[in-house]
Amino acid sequence: MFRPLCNLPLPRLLSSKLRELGFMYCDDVCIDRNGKPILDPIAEKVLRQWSDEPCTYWKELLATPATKNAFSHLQDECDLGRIETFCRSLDEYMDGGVPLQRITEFSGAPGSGKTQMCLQLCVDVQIPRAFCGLEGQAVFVDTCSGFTVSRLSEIAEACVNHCSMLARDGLNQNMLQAMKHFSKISILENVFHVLCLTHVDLMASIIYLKKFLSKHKQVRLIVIDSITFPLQTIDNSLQRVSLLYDLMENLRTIASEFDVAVVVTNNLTTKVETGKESSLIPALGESFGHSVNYRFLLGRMSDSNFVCVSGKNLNKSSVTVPFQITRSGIREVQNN
Amino acid sequence: MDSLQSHLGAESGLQLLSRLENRPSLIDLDNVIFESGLLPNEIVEINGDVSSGKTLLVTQFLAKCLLPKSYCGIDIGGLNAGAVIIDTDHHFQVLKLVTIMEAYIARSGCSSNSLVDANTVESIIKDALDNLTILHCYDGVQLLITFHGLKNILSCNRNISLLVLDSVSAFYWQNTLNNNGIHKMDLYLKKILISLQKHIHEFKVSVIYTKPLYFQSKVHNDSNVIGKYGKISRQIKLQKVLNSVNLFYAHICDNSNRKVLSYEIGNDGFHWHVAQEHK
Amino acid sequence: MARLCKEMNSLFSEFVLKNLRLCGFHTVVDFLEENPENLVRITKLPYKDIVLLRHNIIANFSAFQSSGKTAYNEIVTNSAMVSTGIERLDALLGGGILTGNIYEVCGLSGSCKTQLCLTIAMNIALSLKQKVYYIDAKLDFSSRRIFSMLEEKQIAETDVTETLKRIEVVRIKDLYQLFSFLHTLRENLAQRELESSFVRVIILDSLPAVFFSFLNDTNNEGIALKSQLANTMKHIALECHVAFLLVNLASRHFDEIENLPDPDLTVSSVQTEVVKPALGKQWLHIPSTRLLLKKVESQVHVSIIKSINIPLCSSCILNIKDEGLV
Repeated sequence: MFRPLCNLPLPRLLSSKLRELGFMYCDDVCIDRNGKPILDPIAEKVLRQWSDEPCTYWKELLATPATKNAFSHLQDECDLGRIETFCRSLDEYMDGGVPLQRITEFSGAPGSGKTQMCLQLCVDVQIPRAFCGLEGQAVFVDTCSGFTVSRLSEIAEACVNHCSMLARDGLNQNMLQAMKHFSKISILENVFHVLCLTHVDLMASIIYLKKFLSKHKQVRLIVIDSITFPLQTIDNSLQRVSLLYDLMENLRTIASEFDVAVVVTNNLTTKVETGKESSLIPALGESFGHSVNYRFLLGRMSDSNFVCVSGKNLNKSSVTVPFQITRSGIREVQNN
Repeated sequence: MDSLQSHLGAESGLQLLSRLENRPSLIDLDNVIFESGLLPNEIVEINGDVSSGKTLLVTQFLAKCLLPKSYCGIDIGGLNAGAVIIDTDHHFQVLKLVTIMEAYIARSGCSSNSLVDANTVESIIKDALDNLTILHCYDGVQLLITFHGLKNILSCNRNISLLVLDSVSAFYWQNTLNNNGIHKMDLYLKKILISLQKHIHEFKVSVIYTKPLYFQSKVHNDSNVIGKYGKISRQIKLQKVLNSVNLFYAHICDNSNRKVLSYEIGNDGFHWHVAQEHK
Repeated sequence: MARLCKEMNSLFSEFVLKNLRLCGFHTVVDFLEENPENLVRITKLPYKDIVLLRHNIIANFSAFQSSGKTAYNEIVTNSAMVSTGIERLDALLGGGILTGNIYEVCGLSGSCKTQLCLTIAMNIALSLKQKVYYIDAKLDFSSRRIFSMLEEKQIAETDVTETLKRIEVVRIKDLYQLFSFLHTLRENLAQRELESSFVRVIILDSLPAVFFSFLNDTNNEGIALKSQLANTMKHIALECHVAFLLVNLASRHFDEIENLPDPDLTVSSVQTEVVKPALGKQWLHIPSTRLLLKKVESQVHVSIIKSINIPLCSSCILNIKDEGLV
């Protein structure tokens, strides 16, 4: 079976040009001459109008993604580490925290602790290696002006205090050394805040992120809080959905290419079923749910008590995990 | 084309032979659907929804067509004719064909005959399968070239009287991408059938093709005349009864009459319900 | 190969090709469809050469012809029923996954589609010691999950490593990479008789992920590529005797069937929730067997909604456990 040219990502003009000249398959463009593949001279001429190096261009078009067996995948997954949440039962529930290279969604009603969770993760991703952290940086894409520096510095201060206590008590030289560069100020410096008020801003920032991340190799976390907000202004539902897919595809590429964790927050919407009571489910529909890897639903029980339920998690069945949001951030629920 | 034949000395001799010769008759292909029998050069369309049994019906036709009339004096009831299937959708399964053939032989009453054991059944089926030519097509260009090659296949096998195309629409979407030519589904269908007919009309074989239900232009004109070579003589439309598990309707219409039959799908093919409704 | 070139036949000299192209004959189809007498005039080749070329092209580019008997023998010797390792699912499928076919698993998001694929991949690698390809289009493959399933099954450490090594994962970014991978795979599989452990099952998770970006296309490009992808997979499935297991999304539709004013003014509308597979009506025809998954608490209901061999609407229930689906 020959591979038709139309299943290559060619510019439309180029593919119609080639088609006019009778090129239909890859084998028409690249001919096997005595066991050596060479570009057809006419095709080469056409390709040259699009690229100075037609041969390399052609090879890149046909490049096959590499395979890797599950064993080395496992090793990589273990090497990558995760972003802890500071609440042990949540971490256990999430297999050690928010995973890198994946898209994790937190959804919940207003005031259910989504933004708190994001801020906490922005701090936690920076914990020095000496404390088994990732020592990374974070990008906070803020779409509904929910980012508050004062809250972030509160959480940061609590984290620094906690770490320095650990270092002092353990008299660990590495930890003490690491604490010299780990302060509230350094934490605030290592969170990059992007404000995006419209969907155009958001799309542009996501595309720009690729460039940004190739310069800032230390970034391990990208937060988008929230992904729903800028999309609400688009009336045309088809346009909205296709924009959302584009966003997700870009985020997925970024996540795997730069080894970062992507965290998005989502709102809830009402689902009405005949014969049943209406229930609240994450917004943006079934196919959005399909394109995130992990989905957690957050809810507020009372003043400072919250719960987390898995809506979609490969590894665990759905159980409810309680957690607390205190002044210092997300914490384990204390049993009297 | 005519001028081509006049030049191809050797080949047109073969063609002359096949023209003079009678291919096996398909009059008895299916007495329920084709009451008056399937005639040479007829074109039959089977359309229907997902899992309404299009490919199954075709497979069933093939089974009857390929099986011998009798085996060592035992009546089997096949037509002993050859067939070609151009498989573009790749739903056709030889194993299914064999299952249906086995059921057919069992029904014909041979199984009660002590002379026929499992080995004999297998050899009957294997002989019958030898009458079948399968052509797997994977893209539109290949399909067109395969049509050109049919001439050769048909003139070499004078036994072939049935040609099945399953399905006609398989490469439509690629075609819309490849050339800016035909976008209308009806026109595409017509084009395919005409180019098929061009190559085989002199061989007097019957054609059965399948197409999915959605495959027709939005503005559907009911003229099923396809050029100078003939027209679609019958349409069989398969439909599942809403909310039923295994109950289907077949609307069969040919030039003169229409009828509606209901059926179930079993492991060995269609089970027609006896109650018939004439319109 | 469809474009006329000198590699096809020595009769296609530079001169002949140049003349043909000047008259707009670029491909083999152009050549075949044209009146031979015209071609003689254009190419200045003798008539018998044109006839020879026609025969040559037909022989080289038409579909491969096989008799029903050969096809049957080939299927009997080469095809295999691959057990999924999940007893109830095997029973439902009539023994397992049959090579040469495309199976589709669809369900709402979070209905354990990926779980099922991971479990099947693990079982095949573990018990049948076969290589499995896992095409990961949305970063859902989790070797950690497979690892913990194997641990739960109390498999010896060396076997765990061996099993994991048998699962080949390939991450694809878009549809075009998927095509590239499939074509390379086809070439590799063609020579697989040499290898000791060959491939029977290829898992693709998930199909909609690669087509999402074509949602808004006006040229029907997405549909065309879908049909091409289907053809490519069917080709590989049939010629290389492997089976594809695809993950598709399903979505809810509300079909309002009747909304007639009722004389008694009681219930006036009948609204039914229908779960439909994604990717459109053209795709509905493609897989030979389609399974619908529905998660109910810690169980998954599997039902067959399209198949050639299995009676429709038969179903089974699987349990979600730490060692995978059982």
